[in-house]
Amino acid sequence: MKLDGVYTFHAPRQLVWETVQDPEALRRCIPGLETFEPTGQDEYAATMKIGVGSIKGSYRAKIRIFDLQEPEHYKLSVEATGTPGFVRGEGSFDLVADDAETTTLRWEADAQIGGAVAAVGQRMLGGVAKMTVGQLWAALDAQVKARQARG
Amino acid sequence: MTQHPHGTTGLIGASVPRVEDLALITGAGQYVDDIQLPGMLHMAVVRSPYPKARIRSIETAAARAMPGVAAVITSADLEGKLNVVAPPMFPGMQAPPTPALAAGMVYAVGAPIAAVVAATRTLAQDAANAVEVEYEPLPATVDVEVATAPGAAPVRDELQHNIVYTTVREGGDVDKAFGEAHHITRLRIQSPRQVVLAMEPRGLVAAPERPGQGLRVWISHQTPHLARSELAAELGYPEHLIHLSAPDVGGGFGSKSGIYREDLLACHLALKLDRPVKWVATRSEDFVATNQGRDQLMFSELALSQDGTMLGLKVKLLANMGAYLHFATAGPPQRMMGMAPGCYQIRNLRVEVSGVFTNTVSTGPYRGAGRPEAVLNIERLADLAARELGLDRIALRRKNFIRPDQFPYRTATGVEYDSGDYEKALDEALRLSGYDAMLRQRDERRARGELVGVGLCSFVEPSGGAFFESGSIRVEPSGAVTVLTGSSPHGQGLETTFAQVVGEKLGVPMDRISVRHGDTVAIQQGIGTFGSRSAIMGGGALVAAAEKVIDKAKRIAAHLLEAATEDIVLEDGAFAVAGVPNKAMTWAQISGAAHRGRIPADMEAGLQESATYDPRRESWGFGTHVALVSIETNTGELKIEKLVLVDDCGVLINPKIVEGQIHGGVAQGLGEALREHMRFDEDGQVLTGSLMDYAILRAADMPPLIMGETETPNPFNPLGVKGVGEAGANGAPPAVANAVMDALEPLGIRHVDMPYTAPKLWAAIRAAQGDQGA
Repeated sequence: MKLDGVYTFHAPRQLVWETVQDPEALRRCIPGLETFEPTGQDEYAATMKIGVGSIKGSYRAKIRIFDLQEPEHYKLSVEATGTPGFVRGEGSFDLVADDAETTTLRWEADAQIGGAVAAVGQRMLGGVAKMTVGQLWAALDAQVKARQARG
Repeated sequence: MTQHPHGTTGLIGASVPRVEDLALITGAGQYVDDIQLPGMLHMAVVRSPYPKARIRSIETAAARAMPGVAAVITSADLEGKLNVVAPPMFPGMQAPPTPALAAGMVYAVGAPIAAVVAATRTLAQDAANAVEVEYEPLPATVDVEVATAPGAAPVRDELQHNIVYTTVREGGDVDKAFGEAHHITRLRIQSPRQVVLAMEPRGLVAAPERPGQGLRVWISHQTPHLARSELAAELGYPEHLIHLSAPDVGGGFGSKSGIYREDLLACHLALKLDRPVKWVATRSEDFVATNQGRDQLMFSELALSQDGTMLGLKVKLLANMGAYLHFATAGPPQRMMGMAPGCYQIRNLRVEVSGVFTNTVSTGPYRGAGRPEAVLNIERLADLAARELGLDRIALRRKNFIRPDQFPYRTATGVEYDSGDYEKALDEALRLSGYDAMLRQRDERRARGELVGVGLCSFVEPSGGAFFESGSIRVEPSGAVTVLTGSSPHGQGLETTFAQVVGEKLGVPMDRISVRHGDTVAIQQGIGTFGSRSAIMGGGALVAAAEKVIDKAKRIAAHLLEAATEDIVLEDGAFAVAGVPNKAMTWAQISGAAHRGRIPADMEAGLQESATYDPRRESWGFGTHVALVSIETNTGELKIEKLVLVDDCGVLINPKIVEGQIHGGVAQGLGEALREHMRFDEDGQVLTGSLMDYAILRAADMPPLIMGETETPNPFNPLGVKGVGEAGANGAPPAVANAVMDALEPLGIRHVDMPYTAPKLWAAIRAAQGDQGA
């Protein structure tokens, strides 16, 4: 499954970069996240609960951030397995400074999904994935705004 | 509806209500899941989410430590034992054994990796969820053309190539026929894969009996005796120590034949733990753990003369068998060998059938089991040939039909059709459907811009034939009758049908007859129910047993009446010297004597006889189905406005049951035609793994059925019957397909594969309108 999207932050690129790279901010913002522990340089182990239609369940995920080119580009890979199935994918993220106070984040991802979550939730997967990513950006945006407010 | 609670003559042919139904519709049926035993454990199965992967590790410690868990096993615990072994049906067939638990590699989504038994079903499932498996995913092969391309990666490591088997049969001079042909009609058809979806999923209870001395098994199954034989061989357990029963079975449609991996696992664990173990598939499991149906890709060429005479036919068939072969997986596509020419005289014939491994769920027999594909193939070809030659499709069929005086008719590939009158069924279907008026109506509506089509399908339906069948009739001392049939039913109403047969033959009312089945201890060796065989085979065996019982009863009557056996007649359920009816003896009197020593000195006591029946040939039912359809131009939505079914299955034992069989077959056939399609994505992932995603036909999709019949008795069966269980699934889908293609003909659309979902037809309509510059 291929997905992509764009999100606009009304904040300087450097601040957006720092926020989306901050494990603590990610821990607070990733929807359904239950645990999020660093396991190495830019590597994390997470458990999360996600529901796709009637297929709800917990996933154990390995997350790795790589190809870091501060402040404009990074990649992220996820290997998640759980009772409802598995998700393996890689995403590419580009931050473009439109001006001093506006940053556009463009992302694209390619994921393989299997097990019950694919067999039963297929029709809803794309929508759920986009919605979940949208929630992530909105939550990170709130973090960015909070940082801006703190000055 | 005629009821015969006390009378006996005329039982055959009467629409007697099914004696099974009261229990089944009031919740008093006894299915596998209703069986509760003290100390019973429940099994859950850890399954692969990958179509192809190497198993790097399996971690079971957490699962073992969970409450109520009695055991967790993986392939390491089985030491190479416990494999499902498909019989090598064809020369050179590749049939690698299927380990009950994947040993290192998984080759299809749903492949069992570990089995967990626990005190309850939910505890077992929770523990199964706690088993951690690490996989190395590998590229999967889903498509039969990809799998058979040169250099294709093997679906399973142990395979040299992905062909399960290839069989070729040729008759006549095919090359000459094609060389002389005026026209050749070519067609590529894919039959959609269907999920069987018996209302009761597969399941079993296995219990050790008298420690170390036996294994008791209740299993939802179509062929109990065959199941026991296969189970014994694959478990390595003595066959005579397994007592296996099929209780009430909530549908099978071909899928509950043979032994599956879960069956071996539950039996193995019951013996190992010395506790009863139950496993019943969830609906989700049923989508990946039970054989599916259809999924055949056919390439055909029909050679014709200018006047529409069918000169020759070539068929090449690739059947998707999935990754793992079960007992009957290899069988269905072989139907093409006998059925390729359908109702037609085609003297030059070449059929090549290949089974193909792919990384998908296993396939196997499903209502029709290769028949619907063969009918679809020839009937689409017939319509296309008529269109391409500018001939009337009915006239083309009539010209090529095998004629009644040609039976028994031997086809170019040496298969014998026993009897038939195809034109009679066609004429009846045309009459019943108001065919000519329907065509006029179609043309008027077309002129108004509607997409309307009329289609028909004339088909043959071979039935019975494989294996033998057995029947025993025991006249109890009271004169009541116990019938033991080897033909274990799973919803066909055989308790009713066979009581009618035996009642009519013996002159005993149905309420004095009980029909028993499905138990390997109570019932003599027998086979079961599949391939529309039971009325023919089980019925044939019971007629033979009835003749033996009557024969013995006559000898007893002769002894008691001091008459010659030849002078004894059976009339109205009593034995008398011909012409002296006032001294008649009842079954109770005869049987009482048989069990109390009042018999000739050289006669064995008792009044019980068994027989087996094996006609060593198939019965060829037939019929014509006609459909009127319309398609909503803007949405592609298909509506079946009329469906007319004329079937000929020889003598009808119970017309109401026959009607029900046709109804059910049509429903499953229309599922194929309209909605149902089990889909995998290009990586092999299941896309339609639940009833939310897989569009099983619903009641609202069923059009009213107009049913008719012709009756051509089977000359080779003592009851004159032919099978009918699969007729609806064979004839209705091609009739709908031809009607849909007729509706789309004005747009220049030549062929679209089933199922005819709205998006598919919408896309075809849009593409055609684009071609026409609309």
